[in-house]
Amino acid sequence: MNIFNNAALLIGIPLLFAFSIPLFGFISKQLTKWVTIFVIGFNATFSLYILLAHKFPSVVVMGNWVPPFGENLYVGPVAVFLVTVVSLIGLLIAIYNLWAIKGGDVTRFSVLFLMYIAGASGIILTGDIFNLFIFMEITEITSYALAAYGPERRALGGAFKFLVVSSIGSTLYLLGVMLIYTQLGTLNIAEIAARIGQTTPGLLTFAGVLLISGLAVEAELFPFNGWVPDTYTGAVNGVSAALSGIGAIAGVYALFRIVMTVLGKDGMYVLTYGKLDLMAVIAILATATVVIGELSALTQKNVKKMLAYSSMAQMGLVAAGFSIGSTLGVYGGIFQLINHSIAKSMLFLIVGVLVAAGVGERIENFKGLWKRSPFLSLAFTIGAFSMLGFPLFAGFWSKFAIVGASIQRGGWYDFIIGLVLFASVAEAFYYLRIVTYIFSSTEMEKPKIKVNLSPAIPIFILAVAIVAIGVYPNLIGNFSMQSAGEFTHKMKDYVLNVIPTITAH
Amino acid sequence: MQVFLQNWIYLIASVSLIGVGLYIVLTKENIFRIIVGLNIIESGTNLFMIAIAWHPKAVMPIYTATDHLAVNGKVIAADPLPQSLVLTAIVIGLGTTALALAIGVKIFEKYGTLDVRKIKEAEK
Amino acid sequence: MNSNIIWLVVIPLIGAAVSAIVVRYKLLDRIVTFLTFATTLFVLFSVHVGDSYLWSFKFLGTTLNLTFGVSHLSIFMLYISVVFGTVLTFYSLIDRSKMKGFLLLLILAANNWIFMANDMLGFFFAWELMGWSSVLSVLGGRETENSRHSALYYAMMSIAGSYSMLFGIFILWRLTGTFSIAANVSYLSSTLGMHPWWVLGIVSLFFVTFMIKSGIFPFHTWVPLAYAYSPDSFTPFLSGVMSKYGVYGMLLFLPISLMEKGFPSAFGGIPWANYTFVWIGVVTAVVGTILAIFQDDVKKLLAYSSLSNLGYVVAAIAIFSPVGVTAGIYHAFNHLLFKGALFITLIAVISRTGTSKMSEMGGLWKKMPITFFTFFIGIASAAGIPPFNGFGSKWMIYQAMIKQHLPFAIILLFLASTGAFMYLFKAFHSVFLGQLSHKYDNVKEVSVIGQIVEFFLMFAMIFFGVQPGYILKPIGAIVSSMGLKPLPVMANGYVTGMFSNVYVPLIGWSLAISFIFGFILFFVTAKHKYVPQENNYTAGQNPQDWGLTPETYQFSWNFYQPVEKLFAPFFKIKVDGFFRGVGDWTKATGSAIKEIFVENAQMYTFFAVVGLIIFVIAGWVA
Repeated sequence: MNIFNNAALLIGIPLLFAFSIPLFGFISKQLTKWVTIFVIGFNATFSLYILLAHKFPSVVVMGNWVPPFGENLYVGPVAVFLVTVVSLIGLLIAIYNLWAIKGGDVTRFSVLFLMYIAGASGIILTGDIFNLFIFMEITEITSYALAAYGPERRALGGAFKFLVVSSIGSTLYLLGVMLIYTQLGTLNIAEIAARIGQTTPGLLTFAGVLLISGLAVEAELFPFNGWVPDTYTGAVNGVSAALSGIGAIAGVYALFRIVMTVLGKDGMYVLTYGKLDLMAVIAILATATVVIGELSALTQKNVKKMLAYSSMAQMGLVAAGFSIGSTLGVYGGIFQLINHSIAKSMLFLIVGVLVAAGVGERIENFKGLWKRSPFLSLAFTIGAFSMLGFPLFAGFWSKFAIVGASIQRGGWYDFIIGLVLFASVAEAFYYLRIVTYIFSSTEMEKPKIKVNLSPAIPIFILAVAIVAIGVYPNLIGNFSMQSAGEFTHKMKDYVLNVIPTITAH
Repeated sequence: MQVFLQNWIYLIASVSLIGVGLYIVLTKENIFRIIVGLNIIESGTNLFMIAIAWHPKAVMPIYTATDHLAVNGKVIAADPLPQSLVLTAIVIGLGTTALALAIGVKIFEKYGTLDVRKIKEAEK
Repeated sequence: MNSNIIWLVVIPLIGAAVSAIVVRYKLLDRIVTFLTFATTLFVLFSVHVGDSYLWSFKFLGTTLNLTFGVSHLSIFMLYISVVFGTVLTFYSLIDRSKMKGFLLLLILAANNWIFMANDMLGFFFAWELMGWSSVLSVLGGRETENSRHSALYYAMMSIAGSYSMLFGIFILWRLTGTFSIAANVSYLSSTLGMHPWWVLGIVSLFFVTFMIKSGIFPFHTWVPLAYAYSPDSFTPFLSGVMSKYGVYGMLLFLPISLMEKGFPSAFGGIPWANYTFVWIGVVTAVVGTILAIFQDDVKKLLAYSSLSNLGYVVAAIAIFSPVGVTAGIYHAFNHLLFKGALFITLIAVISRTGTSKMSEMGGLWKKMPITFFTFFIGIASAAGIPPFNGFGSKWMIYQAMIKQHLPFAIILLFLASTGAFMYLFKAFHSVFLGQLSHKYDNVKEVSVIGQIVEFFLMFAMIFFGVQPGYILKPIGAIVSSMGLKPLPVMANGYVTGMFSNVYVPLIGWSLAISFIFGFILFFVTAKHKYVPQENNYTAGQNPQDWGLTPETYQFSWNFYQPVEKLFAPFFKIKVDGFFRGVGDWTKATGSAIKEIFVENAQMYTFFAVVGLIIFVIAGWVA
């Protein structure tokens, strides 16, 4: 097999190095961070190569057990695209961590971070629902540990909340997987997707509810998202950035891979098998998440917590986009997911720099920031504007697509998008409040903020990316479009690529 | 209908274990009790996985087994896959528990309490 | 196809990029801004009606066409906005306020795009671009906190409006499958007969946006705040050009009302919806006028005056008769000219005195004579005094109303016009006449660049006042392009009317002659001497004994106190309070909801379990 087609390396190499990092740690703690960068850099280069040289779709088969018998990775447009984004954002956060992670156990932080990337890539690449569970657990366990990292005690509280809720969630997911297994006797996503019609509707509904409840914890949908504010606020900023930039991508991917590919029916709009249309359920959850998230953030005085609430709300918007079920909606959802990851991780990194510079994370502390650090102010403004969907910034196009798709579908989706837009006005208020604080000058002269090169590089790259996507949306748009097709036409674009001989039942 | 429902006693046991675990998680305020609750849920899930793979009249899933018992005219072998999955699940459960305990100890060090209700940051 | 027109958008964007790079060096920034405006104007000369450009674009899974086209209306708006912007940026070369050049250039790009967009996609993009860059521009006024609050307030209104328009755009897209404005408007026109209320609903989604942007009652509350607290050199643009976007948008959609079949008519034979809209305009004019009378901040006063003038414009175009539309567009142009001139002279005054409170100014005419004369002509124009440019449009508006038999509306507009005299006189008197305070003894006239601009503005206001034909002819072309019968073409000196045509130069000459007589009498007869501020009407007593301080001597102190008492009961009704109430309510709900997330791990688990149970029950029931 051609080595360049072996996407298993995207999971294998980070895992291999993750466990061998303690060896590097014997030499120097600083070295472990560089190893992290190189390994994630490898991932980023490799996945970019697959993406740009168009080496997909392909199926990576483990040990010559062809699907549906063995475990396989499916390297489709979605997988390649999302893995590329995950590893690029991971790379930038790793560069940031060069500067940010100084105290504490640097070696083990590097181990956990690499495993986190490996787990997230695994979730996205795998073609097997039980492996999905395993990778989800890898991601979650590492993220509890990462969230607990740091000198502040609130990190521990946040991590524990995350742990409890998320453990319950993964148990529910496992039960759902097992229920489906009792029906079909297989764990391969493609085969289940093809044969999902053979199941008992009642049991399938129950399994679907369990699966959604389990995955909604990671995808931050209400009411399964209680952990979000405390965990994001508690974690060090690099980790918050990773949680919102990487974990969210993996979580949303997993949720909609299950709901749309495994449980979904093709058509004009993706619906689901079973007695309850789970897409409609997700639409309701997503709307509730948006409204609750935005309104909660409205009165928040702590910027980091505000960003956490905003993350939650944005995930709701993403899920709302997906739940429309048309290609346009999924397209908007994926686009929004990427935009959110870029912008939100950048905002967290900026807050990290500001906190380290002694500015603090209260809203009032941002007053007159423009005088103190034009670079950070501008980057923060760009990020905030992208979140709000202002033109010339990335978020405009995705929000536009989601609203368009929603109204195109019509019916009660009009109300959903109406609520979402109302919540967006609230969102505009709290983001613009910070932006206006940043640009309003204070009488007191405060010292300038010096930004080191290592945090400045990722922030700069992410800010440039936001503007680049905003000016030329097809940078992301074309890939999003291909990915959307994979979600909405599951037989043509997913199942038949994995198991060419199968017929739908 | 479903073959696996014939193991109803184990299924009920597993569901009750999950219920007991949830009850503990939802009502006990001590962090370590909550972790025990999580463990019980874990066990319940594992039992569920085993139960759906097993059948009172099934044989071990090895080709050389000779004395097949027939159910409805079919030979039933225990499904080996969930058993192997359970191993993975147990390991994952172990990892989660270990990490949870570590965090619990740290919480006790930093907050000076094991009561989950008191692990709250003042609204700044 | 004329690829030049795309440069109208691209050049400002390039200029904005350059200006953003040099934003640290204020003078360089201003020079870049001015040069970009001038270049845009230069490019504009090569643009003609009928030019179009199409930029295909793969997005939303289909090929979308961003179409640019120049209609009669757009070229008119382009010219007035770009010329005014060029003058303003030339003036701002000597300005020291915190206006950022790149934001103004972004607004210019959006401005050109809005006026040229033939599709709603590009229109919305440009609209949003203009929205956020103007919000950022409002930041950085003299009073930091106020400026911040007003920028936020403006942003919230503006964004709510944008989302309303976005919703409308996609509803239309669902119905017609195209983003083209013309196609959608004609679709709406053809559907009007069958589903009048449905069409009205969609159109009002757009009109809310336009009303917010133009500050029409009841969405006027952001106007005085944003105008008063924005950087002084940005306010002219905000008032002169940006308030016209809403008018432009309304003009795009108004042709729908041509199809009167199926839609009930109100009095005067105009459709019911239009009738309502005329009244909205009239109420805006009256409210703006009354509130303007009582302002002490001169920028706020002129802001309310803008509001009132936009009310006139909206009332006129909503009639949608040939005279009405002509008068509306004409008044929009006049408002741009005189309000721009007034705000530009105020930049000079405020930069010299450091305040915008009228009660702290006074007597500046001796120190700044050229500025004084510009302001004077601006005031005269705003009041609609004949030889200057504000007269013709107001006169035509009244005619349009009389033609449509709207007597009560006219009475109210006359009232507003009288009120306008009151507040304009107050502004004029308080800033420039009366006694000079000692602290302004060292105030100097504005520098040469400022004087050039002021002379230019004076010339423009007189020229377009005396020769209205130069502006009425292009407006006639616009009117006929909208499917209305244009007013008859007259010589340049005439204001055309329904009942009679006025030859303005004649009025101008007669007034000029009487003025000259007046001045001669003034210099020949009376002996006048100048007394210091504290030395009048005291008849030898010590004013401090009555508890009076020097600033209360200022003529404009409690200028209209009796009138204020008259209107006091009405001030209790606050539209502003409604919006703030909505905001507060949302905030309160937010803090209540936030309480969900301050719980412990158990509660979060509990939420999840409850959610799961609800799902299971839902699945069972389904």
